[in-house]
Amino acid sequence: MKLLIPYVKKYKTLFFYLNITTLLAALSQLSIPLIINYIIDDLIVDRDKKLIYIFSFILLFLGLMDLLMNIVQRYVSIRFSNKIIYDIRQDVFTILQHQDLEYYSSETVGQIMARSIYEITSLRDILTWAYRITFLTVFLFIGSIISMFIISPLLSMGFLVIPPILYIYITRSSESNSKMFYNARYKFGELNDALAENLAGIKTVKAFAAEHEQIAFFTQKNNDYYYASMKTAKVRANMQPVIVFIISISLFALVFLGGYLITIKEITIGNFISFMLLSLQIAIPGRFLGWIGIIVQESNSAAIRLNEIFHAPIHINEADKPKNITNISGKITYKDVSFGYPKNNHTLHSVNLEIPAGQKVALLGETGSGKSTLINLIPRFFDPDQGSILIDDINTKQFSLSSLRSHIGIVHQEAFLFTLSIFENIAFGIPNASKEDVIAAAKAAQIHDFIMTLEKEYDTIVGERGVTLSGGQRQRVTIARTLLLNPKILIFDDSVSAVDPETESKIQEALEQASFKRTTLVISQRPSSLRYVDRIIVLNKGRIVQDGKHDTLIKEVGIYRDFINAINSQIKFMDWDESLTLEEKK
Amino acid sequence: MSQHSDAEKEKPRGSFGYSDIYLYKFMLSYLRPHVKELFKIFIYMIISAIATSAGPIILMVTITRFGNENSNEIFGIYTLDKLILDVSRMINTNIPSLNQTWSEIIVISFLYLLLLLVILYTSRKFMILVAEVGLKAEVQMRMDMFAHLQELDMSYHDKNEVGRIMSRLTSDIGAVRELLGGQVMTNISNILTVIFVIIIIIQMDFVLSIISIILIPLVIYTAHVFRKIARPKWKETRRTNSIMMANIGEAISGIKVTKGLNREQTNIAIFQKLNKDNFEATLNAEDINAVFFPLLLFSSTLGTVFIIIFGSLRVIDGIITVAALIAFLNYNGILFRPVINLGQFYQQLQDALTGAERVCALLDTKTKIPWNDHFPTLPHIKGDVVFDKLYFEYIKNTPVYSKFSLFVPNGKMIALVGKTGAGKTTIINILSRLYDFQEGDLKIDGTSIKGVSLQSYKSQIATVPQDFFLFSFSIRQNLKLGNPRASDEEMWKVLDLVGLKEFIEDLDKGLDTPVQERGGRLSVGQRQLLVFAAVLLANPRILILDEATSSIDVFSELKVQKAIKHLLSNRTSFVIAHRLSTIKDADTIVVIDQGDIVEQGTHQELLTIKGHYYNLVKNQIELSEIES
Repeated sequence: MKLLIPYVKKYKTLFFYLNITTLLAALSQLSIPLIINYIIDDLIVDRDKKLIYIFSFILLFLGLMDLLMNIVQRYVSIRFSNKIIYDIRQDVFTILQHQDLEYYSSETVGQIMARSIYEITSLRDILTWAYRITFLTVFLFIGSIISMFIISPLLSMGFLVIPPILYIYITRSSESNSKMFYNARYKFGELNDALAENLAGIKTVKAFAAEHEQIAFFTQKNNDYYYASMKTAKVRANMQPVIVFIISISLFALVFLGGYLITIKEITIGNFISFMLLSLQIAIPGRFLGWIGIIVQESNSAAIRLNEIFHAPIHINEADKPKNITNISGKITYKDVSFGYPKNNHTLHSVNLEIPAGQKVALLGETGSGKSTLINLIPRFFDPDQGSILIDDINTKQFSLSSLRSHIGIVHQEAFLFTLSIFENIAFGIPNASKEDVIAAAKAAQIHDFIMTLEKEYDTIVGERGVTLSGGQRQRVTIARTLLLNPKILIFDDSVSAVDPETESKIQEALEQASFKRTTLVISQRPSSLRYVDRIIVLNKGRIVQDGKHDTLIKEVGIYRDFINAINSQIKFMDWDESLTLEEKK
Repeated sequence: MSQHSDAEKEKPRGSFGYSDIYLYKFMLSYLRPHVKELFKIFIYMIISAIATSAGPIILMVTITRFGNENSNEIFGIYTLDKLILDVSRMINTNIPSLNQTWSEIIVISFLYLLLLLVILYTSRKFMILVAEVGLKAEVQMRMDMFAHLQELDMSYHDKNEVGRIMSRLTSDIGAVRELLGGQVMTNISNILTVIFVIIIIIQMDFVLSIISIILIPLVIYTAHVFRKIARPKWKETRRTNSIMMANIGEAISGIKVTKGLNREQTNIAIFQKLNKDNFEATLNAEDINAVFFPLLLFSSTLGTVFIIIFGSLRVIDGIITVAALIAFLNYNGILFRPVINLGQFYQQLQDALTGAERVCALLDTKTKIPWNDHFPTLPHIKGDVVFDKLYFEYIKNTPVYSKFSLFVPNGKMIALVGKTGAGKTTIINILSRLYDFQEGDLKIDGTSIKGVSLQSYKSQIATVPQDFFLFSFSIRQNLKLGNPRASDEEMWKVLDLVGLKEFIEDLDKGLDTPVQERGGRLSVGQRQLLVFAAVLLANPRILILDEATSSIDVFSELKVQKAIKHLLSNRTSFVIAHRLSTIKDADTIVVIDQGDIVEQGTHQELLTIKGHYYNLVKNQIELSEIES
């Protein structure tokens, strides 16, 4: 719960009011039975009807006070708790935005979502009502006990045996219970996962006619959920009636003892009735105590998980005095760079490389040869374990992150679009970009004409929840997005891997145009990408094995020649030459 | 970032055209298998209600004994009184040392304890049974929906987002469950308790009971009104919440783009606005409760106060005893909770009806490709495929094919070629029965496909789709998609054929490695090979490869080509590929353009006529040339 302390401190005024109003609400609630004590004694014992109007008025006043205090108390509590929830959410989101990519590669989206959403929600319970009810109950309890002692110490002694029993019963069961409740939620989560995956992969399911296996699998998950939920239902069924039972027993003990004390004239009937009302008053919030035990348990585990977000190590740190470098020419130097993803073997082995400003370089190599790692180091998505990367001979670590990244435009392999309008997607990096600039970028990316065929043109919502674009169209929107930045360094991370030849040539054209006067790094498996580059670098198992122009590399024995041969053999495969010769023969 | 909610697209209640009666019947049909439990629940309910309402009477009798007063004449109480007296006299004669009052009280305590135990037992049983029935109904309903979703064809799944369908199976079912597994029973039991209590208090003192009788409908009405006011506000809270969640989801999945474009601050600002919207909506909704619950407490206090004041007056006048007054106070407490619940019941009912309506709508959506399990099974096929004048459209009146005919003899390899959007995938979707054709016929070995059970056909045909999907579970389980009964030996054999054996052998967990786990993570090419292995296990008579190699890099492609050779041998196959080299060896290449077959023949034949195919090949070769 330490997690909450700074937030509570931030809203200490509200917290103070919350406690004060809770105290006042408890007091007004307590005073009513005490007044009733007098009414009954005066009315019944002294048989004095005249006082009734005065007392009615006092009671009504107290009742209204109670009403008012209760409303104010809840009102304050709502603000207090929601402001904290709001702040925590905002903080978690901010941290997530600033967290480096290493964090994202070690956690799945699902886990991060669960932390940022569900864990906060379970903190919510404790803030919204668990604290208030506990506090109120404690006040009522102390107040009631004091009042009871004043009314009749003897009766209180008899009555006070009950709460400890209740307390023991609740705390004894709450720990194992919270596990059960957690388990039920977990099973429900698994059920959801199974469902989501089935629906996402429904085509595969149908292609393999695996529907019946899927039904069997889902039945299993559904049943797991049933059994886990039934357990919690049993906990609930054990908890609630037992608490009612304990309360009723104590009520009876009260009547039993009270009745006796009345007969020996130790207490008055008024005393007895107010005593009874007081005990009923504790009983109502007392019913919730069982739940509060569970909620505290849950919140504790939620807080632990949230803390993991708050205290996740940050790997990419800015220099103490980061430089805002506004102008670069675009020269990139790798100095003895080694890198290994956590838990994996090295993906880069002391790479030395210099790329002059304005050069266009293609990176070639098998999947896993280190191409992506090499480019991910430039914008400091990751930092190398050894060595350094320099831009214009300045270590990238000396740049401020934002100025560094503002010089680098990346077109990622998967063309990720946000659920925004096309305009906003293109202007994602420069939210206040002018319409002309956006259109110019779209034209350069060869997507403008397509956009104009859409009904809402640039205002068309795309992305997960919007209009579906084809892979090639999406990719060209992301190219426009990158071009709008007008970066000095341009990186294409395998941007044409999954498109048809027709689209490929369109994207290739766009890329070629985009790379004009920019230092460009291209990762590609397609020969079409090799056309406009000045230099080809071949990577194998984290090392640069070949470096040069097409003409020289093709003469060396090595991966590059194998690659070109593979492509040529494909062409040969097509019998294209034969068909040409056929033609000539005619 | 997403600032749009799926919930906005939800149809309002009543737009599906079901009557309330129908929906009630639908919901109750899920309780039918549990009639025995329902009967038990009803019995427990009555016992518990009676016992609960009888409690205060016993307390009253106790007080009467202490006060040596005579109780008012309430039905049954004389008998009870007499019984207590008789028993206590009996005790007295046996143990003469005991005071008469005390022996009476012992008898009463015994009775009260008994009553409490009965309440404890019955309400515990009641709660468990109710939860059980509700959960069973929920689980069954979800299962029915899931099975139905499996049968629904792709035209349904294309139109409905995963998130929307998911909420049918979770929150909508949840609303129905809450009604069946709690609210209905609890409210019936509440009504019973309220009725019993009212009967008792009227018998005790009619004038004093008027206070409660007036307060009850007032509280019920207030609860109803508040719930009605609060509902749209809670809806708004949920709406803003779902927008916020969607935003978080996108912010996380698009983090790489965000970082690359220095967009963190803007994202945070947008999130702040959504967070604030949700904050305000939540305050709006919760503020209503802040008034509502204190008001209810107040009305309960009001009841207590009135009972005390008027009750005391009536005690002075000698109309009722102090004991009766105390009993009234106790009854006021008992009445309070059930009455609030009753006030909220109407809206809960509405929620459940809304849920039930959407569930019904899903279950009533007819699949265009039913499983037809009762139809004759297709015997082991050779694999002759005939498309006979097929008419097909995705959208009404815009046919993709109006008269598509093609004959494919068994064992042949057919390549489908054409521009993006020409309709190649459509042919395959029809053949693999993902979509239904509207007219014409599809015959396998001369048997019309619509006349046999779907399962018997699908078990003989397999597709490797363009957007292939691996489940997040283990390699073994993914392989079992192809053949659930495959042995480990068979699995290793096919893994060897596709060239994955060594890689998987090297993994710590071998076949049990989850396909998405880091370290054991498969590359795109390896994932594709795994799908091939699953297909080999399925050993289908007809095989479809839809762009199966497009995401494999050139280095790996040669390896995959070998696997593909294995895949294609000994069966009828349909292949779509952008890389024309893959399809060169096809027995027939079919060129499709705008819903029609424009060219058909072998690679050589088609190159010679210099038509569409010639141009496609030329285009591709140009792309492959490095110096242009």
